[in-house]
Amino acid sequence: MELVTKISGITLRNPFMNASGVLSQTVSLLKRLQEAEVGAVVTKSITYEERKGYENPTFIKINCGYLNAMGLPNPGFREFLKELSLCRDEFKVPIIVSIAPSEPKQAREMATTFKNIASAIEINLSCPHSEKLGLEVFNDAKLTESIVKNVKDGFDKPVFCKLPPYRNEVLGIIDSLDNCDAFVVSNTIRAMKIDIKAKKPVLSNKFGGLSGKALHPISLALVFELYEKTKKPIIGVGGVESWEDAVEFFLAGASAVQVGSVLEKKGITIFKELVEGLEKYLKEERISLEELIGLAHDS
Amino acid sequence: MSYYIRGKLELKSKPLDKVAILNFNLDEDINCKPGQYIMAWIPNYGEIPLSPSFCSDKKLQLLVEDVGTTSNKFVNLELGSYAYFRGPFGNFFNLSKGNKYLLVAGGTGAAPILMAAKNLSELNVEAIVIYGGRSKNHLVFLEEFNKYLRKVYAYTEDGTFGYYGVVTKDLQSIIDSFSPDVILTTGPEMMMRKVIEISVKNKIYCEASIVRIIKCASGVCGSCVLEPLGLLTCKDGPVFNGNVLINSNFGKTMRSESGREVEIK
Repeated sequence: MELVTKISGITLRNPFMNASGVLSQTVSLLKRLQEAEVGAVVTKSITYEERKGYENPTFIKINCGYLNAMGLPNPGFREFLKELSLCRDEFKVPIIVSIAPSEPKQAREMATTFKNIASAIEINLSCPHSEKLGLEVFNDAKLTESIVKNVKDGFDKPVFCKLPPYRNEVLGIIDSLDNCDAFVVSNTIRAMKIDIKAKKPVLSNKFGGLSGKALHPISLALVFELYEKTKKPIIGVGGVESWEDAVEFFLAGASAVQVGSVLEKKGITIFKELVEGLEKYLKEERISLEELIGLAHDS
Repeated sequence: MSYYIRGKLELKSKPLDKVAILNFNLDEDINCKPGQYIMAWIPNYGEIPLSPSFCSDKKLQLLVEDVGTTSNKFVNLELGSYAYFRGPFGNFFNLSKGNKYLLVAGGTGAAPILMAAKNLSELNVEAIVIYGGRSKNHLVFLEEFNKYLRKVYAYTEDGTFGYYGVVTKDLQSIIDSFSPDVILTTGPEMMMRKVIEISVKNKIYCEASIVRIIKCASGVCGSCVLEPLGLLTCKDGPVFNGNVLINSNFGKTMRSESGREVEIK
């Protein structure tokens, strides 16, 4: 079955991409993803200035998924652009550049800078563990609106907003995000792990984001609800560990799906598994991908 | 169960000002194979990847060099104090690849080679080591190597013990006389690069356990990437075949904590 799909006018060879932050901070890693059959690559969230990220422990596996507080390490947008520019021609799939701005002017400058490289910009409005970035930006509705507008003004291609998994906050802000072209739903949930013998939180940042299995039904519910509230395309992300998990996202209304933490368990071959699983399912159910999207909704 | 396995520091020596050999008693077993690593945590300081020199039967031995906040805390840890461990992570040296092993160890990187030496002697595989350091007191595992291996070639850069010079100085002639099937190496990156070059030239199977900035230890975050293939030291490694390393940026560049490409000196 045909897996080619479109998001805001961008053609994808299949509806699967990596989630930002996962194997996406260098060109060599993005190339590995491309070879692994992704429909598009999403870069690590890039900030205006260089960030070292937090001290370890930064990523741990727990019973119901994974916790991370990497602290958005990245070499800064200028350095990243330099690296990406050198190899732009080697990418046959769309590059979605994720940016994590803290204020509108810098957001616009970053967006403009990636104009010739990126097929779309994904704005990280939801990292739950970084000061003045991500979720802290999202919690300021006016700031969020202004950042989205500035990115849109500086970038003539689609702009996606990556949202947190918190229903009330998301539904409260969604109308003021009218400037953007699609939603990425959702980022991780603010969470914690304590070691009972050390008697201390494990992550050096104490708080982190919960991803993996536990996140899937939560993101799924939000995708379902947003699908009825907005006409914009939705990219589902959260705890996808198999093609079945991904199919649930399509049924709920996602036009594409991102995967992240599952790479710990299954490695980069997960993308092949997703593509083959979805193809087989569509064939067996005699349905197209387009028809599948949002099918779980009444009428 | 606690998330980490707790270890109590039972024995400690400081062969050098900035180097400690730490022996922990663990609450539970960690079985680490030579070349693999564990993540070693001290709350409020940080967590670092370390490749042990011994790790089984609820005992763990680490050689730690003070190169940052967390390793500094480890080097200065007092007897009876606790540290916390998880793992093992990554792949390990192949100890059934041949009948004759040449081990090449440099300075404080010698820990996994010592574990390999012990395991090879238990497997009755013929093995010798070339062991080098700046000065005599840098050869902290000299006694242990002598215990497990029939031949130890010691090298010091200042000539205070053994042969005068670096470990790679007589590598070619030792290869010529010993004719190893396999070469295993750990140590400073430039030293390993040299060992690999000589191994590859001689068409001898070679493995190196390498160091990069490891954060997630799970093959997810990409901080430990080995260019240009995008291999992940934390999961695809830390042990890599010499043929892979020689065609990579190993010995040339690595990624900083932010992901910036920096030159290795």
